[in-house]
Amino acid sequence: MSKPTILIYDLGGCEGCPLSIMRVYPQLINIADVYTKCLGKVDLDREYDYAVVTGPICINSPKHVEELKKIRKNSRVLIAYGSCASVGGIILYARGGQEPRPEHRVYAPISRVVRVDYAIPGCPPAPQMLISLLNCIRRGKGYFLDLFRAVALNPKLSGFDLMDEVVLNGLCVGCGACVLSCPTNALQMIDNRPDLIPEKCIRCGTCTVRCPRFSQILIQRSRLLQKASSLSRISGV
Amino acid sequence: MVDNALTTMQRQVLDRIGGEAVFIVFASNGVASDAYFVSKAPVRGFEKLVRGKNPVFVVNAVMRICGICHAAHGIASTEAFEDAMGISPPRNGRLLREAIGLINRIQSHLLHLTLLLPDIYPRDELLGFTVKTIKLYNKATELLGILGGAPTHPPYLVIGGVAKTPSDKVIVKITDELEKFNEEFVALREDVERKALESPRIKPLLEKEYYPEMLATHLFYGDRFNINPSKIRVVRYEEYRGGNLPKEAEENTSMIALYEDRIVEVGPRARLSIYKGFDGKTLWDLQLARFMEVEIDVLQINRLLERIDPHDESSTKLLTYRPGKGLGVYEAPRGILIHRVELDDNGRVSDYKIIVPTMFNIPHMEIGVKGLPSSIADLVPRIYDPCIPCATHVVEVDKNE
Amino acid sequence: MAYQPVVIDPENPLGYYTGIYLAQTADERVKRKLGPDYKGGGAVTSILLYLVEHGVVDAVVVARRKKGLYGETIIAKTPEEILEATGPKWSIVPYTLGLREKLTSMDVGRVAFVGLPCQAQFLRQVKMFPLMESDFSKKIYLIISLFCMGTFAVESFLNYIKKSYHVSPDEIENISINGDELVVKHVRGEIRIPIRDALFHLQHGCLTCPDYTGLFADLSAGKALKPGFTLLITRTKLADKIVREASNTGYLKLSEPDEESLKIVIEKAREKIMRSYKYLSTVL
Repeated sequence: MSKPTILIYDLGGCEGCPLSIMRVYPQLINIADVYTKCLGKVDLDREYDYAVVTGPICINSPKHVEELKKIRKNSRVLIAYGSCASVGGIILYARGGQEPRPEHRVYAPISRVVRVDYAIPGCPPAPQMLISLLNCIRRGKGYFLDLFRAVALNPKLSGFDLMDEVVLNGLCVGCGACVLSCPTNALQMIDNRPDLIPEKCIRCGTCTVRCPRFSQILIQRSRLLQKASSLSRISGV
Repeated sequence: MVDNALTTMQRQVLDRIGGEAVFIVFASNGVASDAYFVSKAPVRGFEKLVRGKNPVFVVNAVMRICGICHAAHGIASTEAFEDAMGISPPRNGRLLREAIGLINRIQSHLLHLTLLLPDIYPRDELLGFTVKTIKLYNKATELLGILGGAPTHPPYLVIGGVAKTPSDKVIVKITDELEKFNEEFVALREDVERKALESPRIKPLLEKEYYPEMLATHLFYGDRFNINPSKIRVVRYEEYRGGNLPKEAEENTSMIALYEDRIVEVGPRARLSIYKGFDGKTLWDLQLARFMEVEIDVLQINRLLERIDPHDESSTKLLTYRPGKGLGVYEAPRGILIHRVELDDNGRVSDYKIIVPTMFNIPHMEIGVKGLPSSIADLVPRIYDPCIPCATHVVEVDKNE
Repeated sequence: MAYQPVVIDPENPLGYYTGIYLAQTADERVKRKLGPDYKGGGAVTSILLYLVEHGVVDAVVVARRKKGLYGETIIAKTPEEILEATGPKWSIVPYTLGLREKLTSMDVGRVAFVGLPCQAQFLRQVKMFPLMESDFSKKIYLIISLFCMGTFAVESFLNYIKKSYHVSPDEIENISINGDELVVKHVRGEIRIPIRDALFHLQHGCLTCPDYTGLFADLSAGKALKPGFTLLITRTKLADKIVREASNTGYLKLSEPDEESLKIVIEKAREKIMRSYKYLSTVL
């Protein structure tokens, strides 16, 4: 059997994610045919088994929106990789108005524009992440795949959401998973509960998918969402 | 732009560079006569993004401007805030910060080498060398993970110094790793240099002399007293080029930086020319300068680590929130990086400006290519190693400054 | 990676497993430490001793009770440290930033982690899907989860004991479970609290948790119905091998699980899943 093809494409992020992927390139080429701009030309017009999109989508850049739509059309599985692509990350704070293109105002996770199969937060995810993910997708099921699918449907995830949905909601049990999942050390344990240092949160979303409670809420919520959308399709809404 | 029958226009989407850009080259009889370097990445607007924010947030934010030179942005930013707050890191903090910055520089240079390899190696040897270079790159990356807290966007870079002092053991480990790294690097470098002499694509670069005015502030770190920031003018690309631009070039998402209204080269060659007497005049010397830098940087990191006292603090824990203005100048992998900040009465950011090295270097990519075969035109930007993620996040500096 | 994806399913509440054993410590040190009254089997401590003494792992991360219900996470490298941490835990001991720092700066390669199901889920995710570059994925060698029906909100529970039984937190020496009762030993004697009364002091978050046995762990362990035994569920080949080796080298005695113990654990696991569905539906 020939190896699956994988496209790695950055839409205008910091390039940290594609570079983190490049670090596992020696392993990645064993399981897939890799197409990336870092190592040569890429062709968005051909079809790929997997497309790994990094970086946020700038809603005000028609060029990038077109590219993203094209990638969606031409790929079997679309993976939003890294915090910007999956949940928005730091760039959600963008307010536009900057030279030389003040019209680039709004940035969003790519799932706001196209259907995404799996969304992986992390700023950036560790290189090994992609290898594990591809292996898991091949097996096709499991809690964590459900989770990354749920993130694609519900990209509003950040330290603030962790606080709102879990901690302030009284659902936190104090396991400490979140404090070990923050790249900027924005979470600290106070009296066995995490507390957010707001000025340190970069909205990468990592803590939320690592939280046993939040991950479960996400999965259940995405099931409801999917049910609702299939109902609305049936009834023609 | 000469418009006659012999002139052809070639539009090339650049691959193997940091970011998204198009290189438009005009050529007469296959020889490049003019070129336009057009950044395509959207403008994320970090200067606007950080306004009103707490300085602690801003350092974490601006590191995310770039996934290649994250530490450089972190250092320039912390320097600017410290200047504005009137604090300075303890000795350990300065030493560590410089070491972290240099590892980031090595990381960046190796990454660039990975991008360049396909121009040097024949197809059948390429994969092996790419894997080899990436493995070496991973080694540098690991070191940044140890010293900086993460290999990308290192969180230990904080205002007031570096958040964690490495233990004796860690310092020994890093020194050992650096030694191994250096051995492998020297071997790789020799091989690349030899192969480059045989590569038909590299050959024109070996012969093409291009040596503009150089600007650098320090060999290893960056020194705000070696530059007069008020002499830097940042202009829109159209304004810099003037005249009749190809339509696409008007859409450029990057700006151009001028020093005393002249174009200057910044980066490895500039640093080595000014502080080490390096006098390589050809375009290929840009790459040789990068190689040289990796080697002297490894030595410098060792020197810095030797001086660290593992039992001493590495950061002043005291941040002062007050109004002020600050300037941070740092020699990023690609050259002079400037962060300027203004803090309001609550010590929050009221204004933030960033000038990145690629804004200085874009003109050279366009001029340097003149006279070269248009078939290898893409190599000129690549040898200058532009960083588009950085270059598309800058704002126009007020003209009256 | 030979790891079976986790599916949480009330029809199959124990999840995927490779083996189930009834285990009892064969190690004199563990027996001595636990004392004659202890109703558990001491299997986890024995396995940890095996792992460390045979050099399978460099260290184990366990929770140690400090005083009363309070605990701390320690990285134990010696048998003495492990023995000191033995015994049931009644509250969750959070992982903190210090843990990562210690793990990364200490010279340890392979580490076995003992935690609760929620912590096992976190560790599995760190190991399989490292979302952070600073994750200690490579150091996670074995994940052991203890069965958990929920953890107490410490302050709330302690206050309850103090108000209802006049035993202050400082006086509590040990808490164990006996049938439907919690037995709290304190400096002046012991009190027995019906479990029903104590449930009020469970953490709310635990009510939405569907995982009783630790589905994400390599090895799950909990008290068997039969006094003096631990029920072990191995979920990976690695865990299976370790359990057998610990038995072959004289740390453990293994036997077939009795039907009653098995029935109870399945029942409880299903109960926890159903409970979580019920409570989760109120917070979605």
